[in-house]
Amino acid sequence: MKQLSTKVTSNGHGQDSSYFLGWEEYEKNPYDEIKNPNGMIQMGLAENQLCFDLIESWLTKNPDAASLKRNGQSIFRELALFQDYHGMPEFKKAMAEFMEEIRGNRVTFDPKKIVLAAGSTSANETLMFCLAEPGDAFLLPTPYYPGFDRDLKWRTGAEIVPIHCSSSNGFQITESALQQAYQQAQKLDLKVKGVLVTNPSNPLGTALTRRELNLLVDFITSKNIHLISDEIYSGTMFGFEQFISVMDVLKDKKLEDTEVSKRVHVVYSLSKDLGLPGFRVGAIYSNDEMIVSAATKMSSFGLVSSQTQYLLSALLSDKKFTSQYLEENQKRLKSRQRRLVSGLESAGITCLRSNAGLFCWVDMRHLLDTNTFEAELDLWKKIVYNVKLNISPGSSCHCTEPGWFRVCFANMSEDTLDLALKRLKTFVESTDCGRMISRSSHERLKSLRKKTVSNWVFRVSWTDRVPDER
Amino acid sequence: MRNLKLFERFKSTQVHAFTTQDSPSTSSNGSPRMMKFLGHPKSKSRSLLPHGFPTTDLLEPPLDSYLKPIDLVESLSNLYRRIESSSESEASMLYLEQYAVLRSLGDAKLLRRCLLNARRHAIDVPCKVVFSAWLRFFRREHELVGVESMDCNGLASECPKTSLTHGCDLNVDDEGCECSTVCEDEFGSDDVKISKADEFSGLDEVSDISFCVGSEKAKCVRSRIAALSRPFEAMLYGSFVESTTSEIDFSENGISIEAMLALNIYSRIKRVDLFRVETVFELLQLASKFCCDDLKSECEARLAASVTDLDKALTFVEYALEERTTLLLSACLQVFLRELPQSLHNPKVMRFFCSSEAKEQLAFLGSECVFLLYYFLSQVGMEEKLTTDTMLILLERTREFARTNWQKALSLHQMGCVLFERKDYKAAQFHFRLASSLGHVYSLAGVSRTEYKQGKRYSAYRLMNFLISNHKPHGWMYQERSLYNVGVEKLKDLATATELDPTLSFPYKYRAVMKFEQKQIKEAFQEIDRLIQFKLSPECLELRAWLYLATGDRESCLRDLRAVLSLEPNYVVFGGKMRDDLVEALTAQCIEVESEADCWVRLFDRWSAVDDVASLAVVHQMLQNDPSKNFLRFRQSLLLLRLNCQGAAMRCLRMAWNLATSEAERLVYEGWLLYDMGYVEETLTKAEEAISIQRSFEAFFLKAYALADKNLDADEISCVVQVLEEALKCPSDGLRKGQALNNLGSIYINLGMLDQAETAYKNAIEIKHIRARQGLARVYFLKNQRKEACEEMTKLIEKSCSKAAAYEKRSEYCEREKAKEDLDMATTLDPLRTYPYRYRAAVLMDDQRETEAVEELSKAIAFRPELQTLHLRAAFHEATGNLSLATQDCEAALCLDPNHTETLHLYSRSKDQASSIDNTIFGLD
Repeated sequence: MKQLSTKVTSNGHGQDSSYFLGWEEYEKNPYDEIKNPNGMIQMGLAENQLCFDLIESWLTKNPDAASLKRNGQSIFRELALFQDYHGMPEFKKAMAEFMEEIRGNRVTFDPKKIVLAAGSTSANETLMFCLAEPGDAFLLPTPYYPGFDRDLKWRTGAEIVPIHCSSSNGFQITESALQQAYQQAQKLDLKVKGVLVTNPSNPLGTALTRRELNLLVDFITSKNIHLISDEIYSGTMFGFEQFISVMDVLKDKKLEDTEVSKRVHVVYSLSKDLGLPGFRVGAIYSNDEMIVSAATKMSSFGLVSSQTQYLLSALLSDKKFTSQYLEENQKRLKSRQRRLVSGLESAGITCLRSNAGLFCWVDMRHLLDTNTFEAELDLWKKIVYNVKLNISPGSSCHCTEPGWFRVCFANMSEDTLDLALKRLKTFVESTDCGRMISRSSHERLKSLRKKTVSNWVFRVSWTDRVPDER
Repeated sequence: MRNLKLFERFKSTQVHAFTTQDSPSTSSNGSPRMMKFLGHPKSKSRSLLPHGFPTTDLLEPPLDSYLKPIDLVESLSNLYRRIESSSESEASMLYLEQYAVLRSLGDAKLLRRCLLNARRHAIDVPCKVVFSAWLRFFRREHELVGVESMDCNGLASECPKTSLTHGCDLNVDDEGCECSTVCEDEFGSDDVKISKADEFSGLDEVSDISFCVGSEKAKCVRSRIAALSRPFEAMLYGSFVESTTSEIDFSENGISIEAMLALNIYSRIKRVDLFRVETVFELLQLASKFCCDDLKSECEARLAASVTDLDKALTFVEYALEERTTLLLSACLQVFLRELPQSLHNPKVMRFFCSSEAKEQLAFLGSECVFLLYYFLSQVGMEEKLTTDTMLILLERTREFARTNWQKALSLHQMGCVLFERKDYKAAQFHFRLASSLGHVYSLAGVSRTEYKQGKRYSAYRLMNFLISNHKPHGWMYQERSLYNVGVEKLKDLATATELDPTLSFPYKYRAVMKFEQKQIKEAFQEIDRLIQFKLSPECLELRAWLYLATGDRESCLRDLRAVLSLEPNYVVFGGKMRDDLVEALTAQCIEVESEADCWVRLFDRWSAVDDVASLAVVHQMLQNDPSKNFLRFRQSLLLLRLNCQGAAMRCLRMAWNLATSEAERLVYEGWLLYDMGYVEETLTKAEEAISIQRSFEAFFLKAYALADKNLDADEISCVVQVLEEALKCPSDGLRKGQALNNLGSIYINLGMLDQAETAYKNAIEIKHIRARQGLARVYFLKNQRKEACEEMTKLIEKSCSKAAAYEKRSEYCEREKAKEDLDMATTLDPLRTYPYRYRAAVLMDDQRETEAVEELSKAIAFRPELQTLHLRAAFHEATGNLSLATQDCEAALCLDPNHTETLHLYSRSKDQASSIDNTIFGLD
């Protein structure tokens, strides 16, 4: 084994984390409504399968795009040979306009500043290669997407220093948390090169507030560092609030075309908003020409295939379609999220109030035996092995408080979601009965009861345990 | 020893249920004839049948002799509010009222708490004395051989010394009374000679005045004597002749020289404990005469402390009454009261309590206190079932000193009951009427019964009819009316009575006998079995034994008779109309001689089949074969507890205590006795002591049990595991080890160690402890294996003779529809279990059928007002916005457990809501 690189032999990839372990478990026994009704339901995968019908019907109406034709004529040869790493101009233009549309056309995106990449994984890593030396650090608010350990650190040698956010304020980023993270990095003798945030947040499902964005921009201004805003869920905002991009803040602060704006970079992808992770379309948007140029060169390592660019440029250029799609997508996500939230509530479980994303950040602290990550892992194992639901434990997202879980809702049918909720409810009821006997759980039960006042049978079945006989 | 005849115990009503052939009518000629067994031992069972049969005509339910409020919940809630807002001086009597109101529930722990609270809040010495004697009587300590009535047993609330100090002992917590350390050398012996007192240093002061009695002189210090009181000061320093003389002649004062010498010594060193009691008496008189207040109280305390036996108490009590010295009087009363119930049979003591002089003289204590005194005396009499003239006088005194309505109504009602037993129906009716006119509706049952007894059946019927149509119906009303009704109507009333209050035993008994008369043997047994399954009483078992005997099933008859005698060893079976050695004769007839080993096998068999009545019978037989097997008495107490016969269980424990052969053994029984009174800490101490003498199974078991009762954290709980494991290492038999393993399992569940719990339960089942299946089911359930849990409970239901609890448990593990079936079954088998009512009510509530939900709970509350049910009804009321009813239910629940956190929360919440609504309305004005 000596001949292999440490990249290969070390666990920098993070595949062993429980986030991925759950997936392995899922692969062994996947749920199928007919073939395997007792199988495991995948709720750890942030896929958006709610609007495939819209795209499929567009494809039927626009057969040229997928069959590599332009005005009925095949352009196969042209596409087969196209490998310019600058990408197709019309595709980049369409991407820029789509991004503008998502941001309510308040800000403009220059197609020339877009670098295409094979998904946001590649986009993020490319940015890291551009911004950080091995051993340099980026600050990330916790909880964060488990994949970042792989995307940002593995091959680049960069480090992540967590910005600790807490449930007490709904996991919002605060100035002191930022300062503490910065000092922590210095203590570790790491050079801080920037802050990376996901907006809307994965795994929280909440968009950053204007206050937080202001704070971030001020912070990177004062520290003279970079800000990467990963906005791959920007099209999933389903609340009443509008999505606020870091570009909005730059504009509002009149920082466009300043030094600061050159240190702000946006990552985007169509994997979540359009539900096309298999198409591998990601992008970097930066105001810094050097970065754009270097990243463009680097994109050779992960280009978007020409027929994908061709197909999507046609799709995204169809403004009527995109606006309908965005509207319908948000509507469906919203109803699905509500279904999950209310289902959880009936099992006595609450979630962080969310307004975006394909998942909820679920509070199961009352189901823990003790307030530890061991207990969280125990609960997670029970849920994976007994309840047969693959959800992601907060610890895999580097959450600092045990008992939170990311639960995805957009990668399954409504029936499957209902089944999952039913399983979870049965499980919760059973554990809580058992828990009744231990005294410490009494308080938790009480708080749980407050939330489920209407369910009298549930309450009654917990009362008076008969003492043992002599 | 006059009036001994008066102290005959009355014969309970069941006696009259058996007719004798020569007097088939309802003749009230008293003493039943003892019929000799006529047949030969080898003859058929028929000859064993008691003379005469129970007949439906003669069956009668007993009249209850305690307060029965028509709306108990309302009464309790009212009482709770009054207690909460009471002043310091009122609290004690309010707790006594709570005792009287809760008496009908018969919950020993609850009643003891009322008395304990009354004792804690009592301020005056005489009241404290009564309550502490009451608490002692409540534990029936007088049944323990070798325990002196005036000894302090370590419980401060019952300590005879602590009770003689003025002021309330709010914090008396019974964790080891400290009287013995405080009072160690306070009381010297009576024989200390005065001359010896010269050695005391305070006596050095030079005398400057002498008091002469006859030819003898007592040399004193003028200033010292003058300091004793204003009269002395005036005499020695005022304008009297005595102020100038150095010798004062006291001969005319009728005082002895010893007393004057004692006065001298007291004036110098302020001690009276050195003198003989007679001298102290003289000093007391002198002190009264010359107004020496300090000396007077010193003397009283000294005398009070010397009252330790009946003779002394009888001697001192008259003096105490004449001199109106409260402390001394209390000390005397204390001796009488702590000798109860024996002193009820002491003619001297009774003459004192019943004399009209005492009545007048006691009045200075205040009517409240005297009422309390006579109330206690008469309650002991009621429990002893006395129907003597003395008993009537005690009740009459209680009534005379009663001030509030409940006090008057109760004493009148009880007089009615005693007179009724004496067959003085006219006088009884008079008292019942008075009681009912004070608002005690239940006394009307007494009125109608006495009407009936005097041949006015229709008038009795009409009275009950009136009651039923004018009040919220109660089971007892229909039961009473059924007596006067005939035919179908009678049966209807009986059915309604059972429906409203399934705990009334008369309807079952009546139906059983009736069916037997109609030759419906199977149905007769079903009827009586139904009752025995959930409410065991000697009377019902006796009836079933009779039915068995009549059908020739001698073995079953014998089993039931043995169970009767386990419940009440002195029970006069079949009204005494049987041969004395019935049990022996039956034994001889039924079974070939059983060896001890046979008995053990049978006990094992019955025990593991959860057939507690049969187990009780086997233990009784084993004890009869070898009374020295004391641990069997302990087993008896365990079985009786399972059968919900707390009183009988405690009696067995006391018996076991009395007959214990070693200190270690006795400590274990003592521990259990304390545990049943709610003294967990003391229980632990006893267990530790027992273990230090001998590491025995039962000592470790007791320790583990008491430990597990405390609120423990995980570490402490795991310590319980170790103790149980120690227990399991000690020798014992499978029955006990099974129980220990079972309890071990439940501790493991508490610790979340399900696999270990499973093993423990399986080991218990392995040695035939079938009840462990319940625990095992729980483990399966917690492991999310509902199906297995359900199956395990099904197995238990199949194997167990008492199934109600198992059905109830299974309902938790099965589907909702099945759950309802199981719970309905549990209610049919044992209507006293309240969980099924709560569950059904919750289902109704979830279906938004609020009225029906409340009704379901009210059904159970009507005959078993219990904490959880009341709390749930309060929660329902709160949820539906019925805040005043919610508070009422909360208050009633808090009477039962003032510390129930959830009820306290609910209570303050509904009060807040109610007041905020009030404020809104007020604001609108």
